[in-house]
Parts: sequence; structure tokens; C-alpha cells
Amino acid sequence: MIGILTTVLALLFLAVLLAWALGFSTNRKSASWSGSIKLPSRLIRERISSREDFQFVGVEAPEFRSQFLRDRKILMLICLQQMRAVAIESFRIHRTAVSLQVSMKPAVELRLAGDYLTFLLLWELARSLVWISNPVAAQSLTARVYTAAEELSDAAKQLIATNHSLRTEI
Amino acid sequence: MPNRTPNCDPARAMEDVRGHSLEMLPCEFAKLVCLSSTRDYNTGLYIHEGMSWRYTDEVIDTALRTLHNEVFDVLVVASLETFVQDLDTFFGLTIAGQTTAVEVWKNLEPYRAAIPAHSDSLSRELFFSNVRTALAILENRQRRCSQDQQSSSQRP
Repeated sequence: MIGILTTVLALLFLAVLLAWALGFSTNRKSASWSGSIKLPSRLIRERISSREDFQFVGVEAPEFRSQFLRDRKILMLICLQQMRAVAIESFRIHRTAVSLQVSMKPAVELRLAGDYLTFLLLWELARSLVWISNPVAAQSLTARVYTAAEELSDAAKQLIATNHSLRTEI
Repeated sequence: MPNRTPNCDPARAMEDVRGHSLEMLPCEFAKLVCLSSTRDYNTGLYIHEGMSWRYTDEVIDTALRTLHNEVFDVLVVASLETFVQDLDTFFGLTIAGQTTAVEVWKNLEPYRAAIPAHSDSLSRELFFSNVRTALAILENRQRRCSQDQQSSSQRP
């Protein structure tokens, strides 16, 4: 039992490291802050993972339920990709700020790095759960991923708003 | 002949459209189709002959585009139950009848042309998925209804 748990934890850790590494490689490719990367609307995310809709289809057209879940699964995976793009872009802004030596408190930097790691971990878990099961089952997890992405995005926006040098750089 | 200066206020134009056209339509789908039908297929610009004597072309375009986006945003986050009910009401307005409308919508997918041009991909795909599901539900209801009618007519 402990062996399985250790393996699962090790795999999760590797997944986080890999996602982080991939995130960094993607960052290098993105040339500038476009401002066009936006979080999908919260209402859209809630609608995609709505239990109410799933139950309604179950009652009204049970034979269409699997098709419905397939559609919603694809939509949630797109939604998760958009959340990840926002988080990566936000963290890139944070790194640019650090490279420009914008005065940041170590506590803030540490918190941002922690938030980013938490996001990546939650994101991997949510994506796996959506992939294995469906968005309805992953409802609360995707909501947490959304909140984490929103926090990262807000922090990045605040950084841009308060630093002129950062604004011109990105 | 009186000299009319065209109004340049999009908010006023929107109020006009809401009050004179959209309020008379009983469902969001009808509003969506109505607004998308004012859009030129080639240029993507919204045109309204009836409004052109009061507003400039730019104002008409801005007003109709904004309203189109608003109606789409309402529909796309609506619960599936509301969505199905709305589509059902819309089909009730057509001369073709619900059975034909469902069949045509399934085959030709005209709803793809009814969405605003700059809606984001996620909203667009959610809308298309909802329409497909709603059509399956309406078709299912029709099937059940005809089965019920058959079984009641076979009873002695």
C-alpha cells in the first residue's frame, strides 16, 4: 500500500516537474505580452461542468448522454488549456519582473512560485480526472484550478499596473 | 424636404432596436437569428435599412453587433433546460413545423451562421454542442409523442 502511494506521489512530482519545464520552454517561445490571453468566463466553465445539464440529458435523451459527455469533456479540456496558458503567461510576467530587478519582496516571490506550483499540480490532477472520467465528476477540482489561475493572473496584472519598466518590457 | 442629421449615439440605436424589434420576439433564439440576419455575409457588417435614415452606418453596425453579442452571451450560459425550451419556442414560430425544422437544423446546421463573428472559440463550441444536444432532445420528444399517439390509437 505504502509502495503504491510512494509511486503515485513520485509520478505526480515528475508530472509537475515536466509541466513546469514545458511551461518554461513555452515561455521562451512567446515573444511578448499580447494581452489577448484571457481566462475563459467563469459562467462558461460552470456550464460545461454542470450536473444539472447532465441530469437533464439523462432524463430527456438517455441515448445521447455519452455523446453529450464526450462533447463536454473536449470543451473542458480546451477550457483547462486556456487556464494553463493564462497561468504560464502570468508566471512569465513575474519572471520578467524579477529579471528587471523590479523591487519585489521575497515573501511575495515565494508565494507566487508556490501558487504556480500548486496551480500546475491541480491542473494535472484536473486534466487527468476529466480525461479518465468527465467534467461533471471533476467539477470542484476544475473550480479550484480556475481560482488558482485567476489569482496568478490578478497578481500579474497588479505587477504590470504598478511597474512602468515592466510594462514597456513586455 | 426636412434635413435630417443622423444620430451618432449607439446606445440610443440599441434602445430603438430593443424596443421596436427584439421585445416582440418571444425567445432568445429568435433574437439571435433576427440579429444575425442583419449581418452582411461578405463584409460582416450589420445593416438595417429601416434605421439608416436615423443613424449613421457605423452606429447601426455598433448597435446591432453589441446586441448580437449580448443575446449570444445570454444563450450560451443558459441551462440546457432553458436552452431546449427556447429552441422549442423558436421552432414553434416557423411555418415549417418542428419536425422539419429539427431535421433541417441537423442536416444543414444553419445555427453556425447565427453566432457573432468574434465570439471566443470556447463559447462557440459550447453553443454548437448545446444546439446538437437540444436537437437530440427535441427529436426524442417528437418520437415519444408519436409513439404515444400510435399506442393510444391502437387501443380498442
